[in-house]
Amino acid sequence: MNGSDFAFLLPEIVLVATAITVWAVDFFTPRDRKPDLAWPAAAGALVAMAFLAISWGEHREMFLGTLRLDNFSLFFRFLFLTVAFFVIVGSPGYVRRKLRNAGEFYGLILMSTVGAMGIVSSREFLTAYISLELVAFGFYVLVSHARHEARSNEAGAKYLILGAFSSGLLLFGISLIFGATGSTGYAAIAAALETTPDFGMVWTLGVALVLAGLGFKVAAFPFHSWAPDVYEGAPLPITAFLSVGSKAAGFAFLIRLFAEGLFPVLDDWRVAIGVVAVLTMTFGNLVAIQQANLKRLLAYSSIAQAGYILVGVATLNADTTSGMLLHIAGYTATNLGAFLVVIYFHNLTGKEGIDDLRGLYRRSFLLTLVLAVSLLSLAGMPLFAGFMTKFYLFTAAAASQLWWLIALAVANSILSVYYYLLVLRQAFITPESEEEEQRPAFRLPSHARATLSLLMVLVLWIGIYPSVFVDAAEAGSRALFGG
Amino acid sequence: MNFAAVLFYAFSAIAIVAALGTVLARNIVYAALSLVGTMVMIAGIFFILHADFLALVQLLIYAGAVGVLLIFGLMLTNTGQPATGPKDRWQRPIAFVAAMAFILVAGYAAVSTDWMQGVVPQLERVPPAVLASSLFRNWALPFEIASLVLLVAMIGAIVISRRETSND
Repeated sequence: MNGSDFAFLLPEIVLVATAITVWAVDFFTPRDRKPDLAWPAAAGALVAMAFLAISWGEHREMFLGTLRLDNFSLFFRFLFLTVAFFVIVGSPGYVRRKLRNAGEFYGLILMSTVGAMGIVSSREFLTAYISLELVAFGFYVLVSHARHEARSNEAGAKYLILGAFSSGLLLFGISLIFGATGSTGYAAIAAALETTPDFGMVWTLGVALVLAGLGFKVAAFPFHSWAPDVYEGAPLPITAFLSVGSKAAGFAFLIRLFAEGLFPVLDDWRVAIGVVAVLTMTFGNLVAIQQANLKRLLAYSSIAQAGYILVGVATLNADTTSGMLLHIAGYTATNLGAFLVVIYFHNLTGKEGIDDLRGLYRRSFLLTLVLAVSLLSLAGMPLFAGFMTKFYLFTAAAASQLWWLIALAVANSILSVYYYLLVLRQAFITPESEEEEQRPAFRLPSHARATLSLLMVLVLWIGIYPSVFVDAAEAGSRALFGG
Repeated sequence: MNFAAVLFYAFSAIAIVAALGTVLARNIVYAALSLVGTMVMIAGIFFILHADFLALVQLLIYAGAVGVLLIFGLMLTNTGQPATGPKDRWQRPIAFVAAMAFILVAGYAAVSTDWMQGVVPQLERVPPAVLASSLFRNWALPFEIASLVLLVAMIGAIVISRRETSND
C-alpha cells in the first residue's frame, strides 16, 4: 500500500479528529452552552459522509488484506455515519435536561462510530475484535452517562460485565479457530477449510463461542438478557444508538465473517442459527406484548427484529445478504424515527409510558405521524420500509427451502402487529380525561421537526420506491460474493 | 520430557492456581497479587517459546506497571471492609454444573485434537526489529485502534469517576 491509500480512511480520520476537537473545545465552553457541541459533532459526521461519498465504488485492500474497503464496507460505514448524525442531532434537548459532561457524550458517540466502521472493513479477527471493543468501550461509558440516575448506573454495570464476558467468549473462540486453522484472516481460514474440511471438536467449539460472543452483541436469544435492562436504563439517545448502531455493527461482523471466512462450513450451522433466529423473534415479540414502558417495548421489539435479520444469516447467500443490508437500512431509519419521537416526547413531558401517549395526536400532529409511520413500518405494513425490506429478505431466504424458518418468521411478523397497534391506539383513540384535555399542544424545536420529517420521508421512500437502496444493498452484497 | 516441558507444566500449574486465587480470594489485595502471579507465569511461558521481547513486555507492563497500579489503586480506595457474602447462593450449583460441562467439552476438544500438525521443528527467535516493523506496518491499524480504545477508556473513567458537586 502507499500513502495515498490513507485517503480512503479519511472518514474515520475526520471522525476521530472531530471527537478530539469536541473534547478539547468542551474545556472552553460555558456549562449552559455545552449541549450545543452536538452541532460541531454532527457536522463532523456529515463531512465524513462527504469523504465517503467520494470513494463510492472504489475497492482497496490495505495492510496485507487485513482491511478491505469495498461496497459492503461503504454501505455500512454510510449507515453508521447516518446513525451517528441522527443520534447526535436528536440529543441536545435530552442532554440539556438530563446529562452532564456533554462534550464527552458526543465525542464518545463518534468514537463508537469509528469502531463500528472498523468492524465492517476488517477481514481479520483481531482487527474486527479490537474495533468491536472500541464500540463497546464507548457504549459502557455512554450507557452509564446519567450518573445521578440509579437505573443508568445499573445498566452501565450490567452492560460492562456482560459485555466483558461476551468479549471473553469471542476471544476464546477466536483463539480456538486460530489454533485449528493457523490464521486469524478470513480468507486464510476459508482456504484452510478447503484443504481440511474437518478440524474436529476444537473447530466446532471455536465457532460456537464466536457465535455466542456475537450473539451477545446483537442481543440474540438466549444471549439477550442484558438488553431490556440496559435499554431501559441508558440515556434515551444511547438506547436509540444501541438498538441500531451496535446491532448493525454486530451483524456486519457476522455477515462478513460467514461470507468470507466460514462460508464452506455454513451448512453445518444453518439449522442452529435458524433455531436461534426463531427463538429470538418469538421471545422478543411475546415479551414485547406485555410491556407498559415505551423504551422496554422498543427494546424487545428490537430483539425480535434481530431475529428477522438472523434468518438472513442462516440462509446466507448473495440474495439474502442484499436482503439483510436492505432490512438493516430500513430498520435503522424506522427505529431511529420511533426513538426520536420517544426522546422528544420525553423532553417535553418527562414520561415514557405507553399510557402517557394519550391524546398525543391532539398535542403534536408531527410526533403522532412519525410514531405511526415508524411503528407501522416495524410491524411490516405495506407502503412502509418494514414491509418492503422484510418481503425482500424473506423471499430471498425462501430459496434455501428452510420452510419452517420462513413460516415462523412471517407468523412472528404478523404477531408483532398487535403490540405496535396497541401503542398507536393510545396515541390516537384512547380518550383523554377532562383534566388532560387542558394540556397545551407541544412546541417542537425546528431541528426536531426537520429530523423527524427526514426520517419519515426515508421510511416511506424505502417502503414505496426503494430502487436506490436496493442497488446499494446489491452492490454491497456483490462485494462479498462476486458476480 | 525435556527441561522446557517441565518448566512449561510448572509455569502453567502455578498460573492456573494463581488465576483461581484471583477469582476466589475474599481479600481483594490477595486477588490482585494472585493476578500479578498469573502474569509472571505467562511471561515465563513466553520465555520458553523464545518470545523474549513479549516476555519482557509482559513482565514490565502487566506484572509490573499494571499490577502496581492496581494495588496502588486498591490501597487508595479500599475501605478496609471485607466483601459481604454473595446473595445468589441458589445460582451456585447451576453455575458449577455449567462451568464443569464447559470444562469437559473444552477439555475433550483439547485432547482429541491433533495439535502436532502445524508444529515447527525449531523455534526461531524473533528479533525486536522484525516485531516492530510488522507491528507498525502490517498491523498498524489494530495498533492505532487499540490506542483509540485506551483513549476512550481514559476519558470514560474520568467521566464516570469525576466528583460532581451539587451545583456543578
